[in-house]
Amino acid sequence: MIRMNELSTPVPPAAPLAETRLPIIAARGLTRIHGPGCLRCLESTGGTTGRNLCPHCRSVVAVAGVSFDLHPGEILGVMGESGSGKSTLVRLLHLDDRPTSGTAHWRGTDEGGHALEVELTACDAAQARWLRDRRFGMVYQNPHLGLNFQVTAGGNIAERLLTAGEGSFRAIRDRALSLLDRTEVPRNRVDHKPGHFSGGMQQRLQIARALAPRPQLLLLDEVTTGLDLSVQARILDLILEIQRRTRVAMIVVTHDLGVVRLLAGRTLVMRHGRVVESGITDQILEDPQHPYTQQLVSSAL
Amino acid sequence: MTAASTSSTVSAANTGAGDHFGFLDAFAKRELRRASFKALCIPGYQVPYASREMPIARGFGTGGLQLSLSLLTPEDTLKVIDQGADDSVNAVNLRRFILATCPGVAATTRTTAASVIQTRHRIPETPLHAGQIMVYQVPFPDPLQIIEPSEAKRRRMHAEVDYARLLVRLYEDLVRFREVAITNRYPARVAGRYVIDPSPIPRWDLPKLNRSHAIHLFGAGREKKIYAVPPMTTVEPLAFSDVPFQVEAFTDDEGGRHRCARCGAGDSYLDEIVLPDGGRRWQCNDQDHCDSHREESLR
Amino acid sequence: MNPSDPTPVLRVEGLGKSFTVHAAGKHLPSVTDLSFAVHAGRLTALVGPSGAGKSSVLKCIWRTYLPESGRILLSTGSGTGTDNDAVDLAAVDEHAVLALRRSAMSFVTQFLHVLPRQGTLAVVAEPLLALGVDAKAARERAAELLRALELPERLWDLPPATFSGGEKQRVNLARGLVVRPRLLLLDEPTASLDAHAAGLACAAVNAAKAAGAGILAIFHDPDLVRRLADDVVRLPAPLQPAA
Repeated sequence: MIRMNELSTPVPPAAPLAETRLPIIAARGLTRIHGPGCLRCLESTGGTTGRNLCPHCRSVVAVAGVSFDLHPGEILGVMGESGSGKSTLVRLLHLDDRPTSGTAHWRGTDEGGHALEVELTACDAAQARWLRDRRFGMVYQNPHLGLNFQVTAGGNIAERLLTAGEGSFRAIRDRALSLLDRTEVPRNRVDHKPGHFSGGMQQRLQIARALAPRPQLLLLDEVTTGLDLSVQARILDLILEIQRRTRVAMIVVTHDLGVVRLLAGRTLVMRHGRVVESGITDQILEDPQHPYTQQLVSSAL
Repeated sequence: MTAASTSSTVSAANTGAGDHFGFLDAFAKRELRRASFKALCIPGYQVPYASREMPIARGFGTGGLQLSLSLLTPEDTLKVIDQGADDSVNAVNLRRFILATCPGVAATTRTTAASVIQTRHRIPETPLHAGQIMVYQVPFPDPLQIIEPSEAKRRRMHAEVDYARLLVRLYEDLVRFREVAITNRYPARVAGRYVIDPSPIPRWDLPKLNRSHAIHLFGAGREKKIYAVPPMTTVEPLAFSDVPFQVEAFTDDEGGRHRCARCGAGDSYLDEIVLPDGGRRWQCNDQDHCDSHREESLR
Repeated sequence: MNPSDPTPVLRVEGLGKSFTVHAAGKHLPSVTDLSFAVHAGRLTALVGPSGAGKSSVLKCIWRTYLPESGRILLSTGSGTGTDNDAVDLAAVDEHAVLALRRSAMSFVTQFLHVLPRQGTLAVVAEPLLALGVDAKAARERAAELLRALELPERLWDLPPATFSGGEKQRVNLARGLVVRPRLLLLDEPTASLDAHAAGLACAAVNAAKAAGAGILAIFHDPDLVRRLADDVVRLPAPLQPAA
């Protein structure tokens, strides 16, 4: 289904002494402009202009020139206020949206475990679906986007497994139960519908569902926003535990400094669709360089 | 396609019925035949067509009726059944209409004698043979309708062979009832590709579609879709690999199988009839099958 | 100093660091033109008045702070002593720094930042697990260190978040020593310990030193400097911030 290597674009050579592992995602200059777009969109938004709405053509520059590498097993934080473009970035990576320009090169494995490379910005609908169904997992802030409230918790997990080609009822049932164990949803809730779950449990079920096909990339969009602090802590802890155990690469989008502090090894700070600063998370938090990051950090502490 | 429409026009002309053989005009019939051919070429794919206004109400078999009218030639022998019976009101009305508009077409109740069988809810128990055409009246052509209201999205799901949510329904049934609770319209995969709604036939009839010698055409008048199972095509009920598809068992209290009270058959789809005294009796649903079986045993 | 040692674990050359606070329009110098070396099997103590930037130096090496000028050369352990055998922590990319943090250096601070629900033994063993060491071996090594630091065994399964300051600090030290780093950075590792526990901590630090680690440390207590330090780097008093 996926044409191997045909779509590959050259990836910059790995930095010296960096781990020999190549990035699972190499994004270069990702840009998404909503609206007609004009020649002056990029220069009249972002930076010191303090806006992402182009005054000349009324286009919204949601994401502009975003580049980063995500390594296997790494958790990358994407931090920014609402409207900073962080959710658009996740939508681009999850193939829910297409960039206006830029590339995002994905490197993983095919069904047989062989190396597989796909240029995400150029793949067709079938490839996009294959990647979403078997290689990516997405957890949304709103559980109604990530869960089917018409079916049971087990059915929600079953749907992902069935989509990925599992055909045995027993295997699906067993895997659903073990995923609930791992995400700390009580086993006896497996046949309940998620509408009867607490907010925290709905998020944990979303995580279980996202993990079902053993994805190689997990995207988490504001997954703890709006939850009680103790519930948040439990989910963050769970995410770290999953990362420790499965070494799945994650991109964690949040407006919350505490979330990136706990989860992310490296962090991108976004504003008006641009990455204003990126670095090792503790450096971003303790020695922020950009005025905006400094303001963000000082207002949070 | 051209050859087919030409020959039927010629035969219609020979009977003197002209353009009005089969009620529909030549253009309508040609479109129906084209859609039917396309449906046969892409087994299980729902082909849209311009369903015509018929002198019976939508929902009473207009899809099947239009198919029959486009297929019949004066040499054909027609059988119309409704719930296994040739003499139920709907079957009688449809048969009367077809015979009135298709001069030369003969009617029969014998499954073996018919060349075109229009049906609602059943496939005859008697095995079909090559050359026969089954025409089904279909209320809901899309098996995905129960899980996805948007037709645009359903078409995309069919295109992407995305049937996971149908299987989720089976999963939910197995969890809740310990068995799949779908009694009729059981979704089935045709030729390993498209999943169809086989019209409201009971599960009992579904295996008869698999590698059948006959042509099976499904017409949905209200939904304006035609789809088909060509001869000798695999039709597999959707199921989990470790939970086999099962047909109705008709087991009695002792664990044996109920038999038809009229003909004694133990291998047919049975109706449960509640008697005036509160007792129950079981009887073949397929009237022709029951009659034949009885004649045989009397002989 | 031991100039005859051909392969210092760490060479800091002309390190400079200042902070620009954009909102206040201020530029605050912290470290200026600092050079020193840390050798394998020796402990270098950073001393100086408060505000002299001792912690900033450690944080620059750990890359929690972005060094502004100079080089921070961490030996790759190949042993020829040329620049080619060292990585410049001030210049390498983030992934390389993170990899070196896992495999080559440890930073023991006064504070322990771990998730609330992990047990102590798991917290200490975790850096080894991240390196791919098998779970049983990792737990044994973690237990060995906790035992040496006399952390009561009944606490090992409990999360350290509820511990006293002294207990937490011992957990922290054990976590820093567990991977046998080439370079060990210590920021007041005994600050909250009583005399007995501090003695144990010193013994553990000396053991790491004997095992060949190069150690760079800040001590709150001048007595500890006398007892533990092989080399001393003195930082000048802070400059007046430029307006």
